[in-house]
Amino acid sequence: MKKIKSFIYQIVTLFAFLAILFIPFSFQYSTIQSAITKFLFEDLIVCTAKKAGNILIVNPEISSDSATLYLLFFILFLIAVIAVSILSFFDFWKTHKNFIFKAIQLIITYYLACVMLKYGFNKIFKSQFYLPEPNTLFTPLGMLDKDILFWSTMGTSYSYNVFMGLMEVIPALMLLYHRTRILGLFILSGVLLNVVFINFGFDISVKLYSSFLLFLCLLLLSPFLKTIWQFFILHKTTMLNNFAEKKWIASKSLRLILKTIVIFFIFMESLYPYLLRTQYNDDNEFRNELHGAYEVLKTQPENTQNTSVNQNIKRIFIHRQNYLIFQYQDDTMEDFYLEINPVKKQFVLKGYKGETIVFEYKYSQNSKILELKSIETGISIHSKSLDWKKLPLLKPLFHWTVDEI
Amino acid sequence: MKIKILLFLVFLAASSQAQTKVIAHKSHSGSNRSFSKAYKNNLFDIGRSNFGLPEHKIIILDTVIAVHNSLTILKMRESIYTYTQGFNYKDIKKSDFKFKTTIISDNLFNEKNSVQYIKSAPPHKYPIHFINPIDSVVFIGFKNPF
Repeated sequence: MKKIKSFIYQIVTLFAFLAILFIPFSFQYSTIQSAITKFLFEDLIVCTAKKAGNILIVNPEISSDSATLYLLFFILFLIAVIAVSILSFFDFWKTHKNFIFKAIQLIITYYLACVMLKYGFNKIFKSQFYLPEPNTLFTPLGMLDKDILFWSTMGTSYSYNVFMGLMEVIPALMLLYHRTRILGLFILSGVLLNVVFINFGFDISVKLYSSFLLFLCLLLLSPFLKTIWQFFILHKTTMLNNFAEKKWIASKSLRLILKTIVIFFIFMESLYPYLLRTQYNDDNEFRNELHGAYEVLKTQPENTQNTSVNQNIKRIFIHRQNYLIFQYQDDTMEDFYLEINPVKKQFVLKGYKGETIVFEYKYSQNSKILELKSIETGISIHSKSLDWKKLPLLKPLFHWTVDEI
Repeated sequence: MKIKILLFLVFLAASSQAQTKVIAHKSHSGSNRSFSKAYKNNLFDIGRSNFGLPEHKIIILDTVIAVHNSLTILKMRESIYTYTQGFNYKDIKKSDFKFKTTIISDNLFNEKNSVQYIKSAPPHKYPIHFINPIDSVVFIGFKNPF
């Protein structure tokens, strides 16, 4: 029984290590990881999908919750099973596996700390759950999907973002110090469990990766679960074994140098982009001058022969990532990629079917009037900027008592 | 000198919002049907979102044109792909950039300021973050165009 347990532990630990190596995560320093994974696994993934039957791969790129990412995990697990099965016949493996797995445990710990610091600081600096875009704010609640609604709701509370961020940053920092490491893992497992259930409950497409992070956390905790159970449930006198780097590297100075370098890179990875931008709240980040919401005052056909064009436009939105969105009278939306040519005073709209629509625009700073005129369709739209930041959802409401409301 | 050293260090990049591909698409009211098209063909900026974390592209600011007191045009190049922090932007192929023009209203990049004054300002006061040294940016229509 002990042998089977050890065999399974070796497989899952090696699988975790391989996944850390090859999942193309959004690191600042590691576009090479993505290139290596693509080179080694892309063909294998496509081949596995074909052999397995009806696995639909729309895009071969390995990204969050893509079919290719699921297949990559599956392939890495198979490799781990095969590798451990073969290696267990070698004496070298038998004598050194404890040392190797201690090293892998440490790598997983630092990886987890790095990823959680990235997610944590992104929340603190309001970069993950950003201020909802005007088009989202003017969409009737019932027409929003759960994921964008959750994302937008989170984006309206700065203080909760800071709190959630700290809940990830603090245990991540605890992982970096051996005395607080197990407590950090314990706290982090609760935080990650919540994240996983949010992703599943609100259909947010980071289900697989967040589950993987929870798995890493539980994997690191697993050698201590028995002791924790004995202490908390059986009320026995127990002692946790130290989960420290010194079991791996004996030399204190080498350990210190290595640890300093690793921690420096972890902080660079998670903080450097913000230090460069010197902008610590994405809500205040620069946006295009025309960014915002516009109420349509008048739409004129002006000699149009084109009757297929929907002229029942209620509002126009300009998105911060260069999109123009039309909201029609029935509240349906149509979005186009937007290229602004300020010299020719043109909006070039690109649709998903490859169509291009050109509008000439005129914007008055004083009257806040935006006029669009399409030569091709003959449509002319007069709209006025809306003060979307004064919507009730964006007001910094807080009441200690209901009497204040 | 400090500013020059800082400028050399200033590597960045368009900051994109941290989100998944689906959230990114829905944030501009994209439908589920158009998502599958955008995802299949890597349309527009869908490649910039992934695990709910921000990624960074390189921006090279080429020209700044002052139109009038409250309006300035920025002509820049944005990398199609994301790059690592220490990556030398000069190694990126021309075809891996797309040209962008943005219109801004900014206190620093403003017709009323001289080019010398703008160049001596600390980088964090720039309205956008760009990788190239400010000395390589062409300023047109400013007070003292040198």
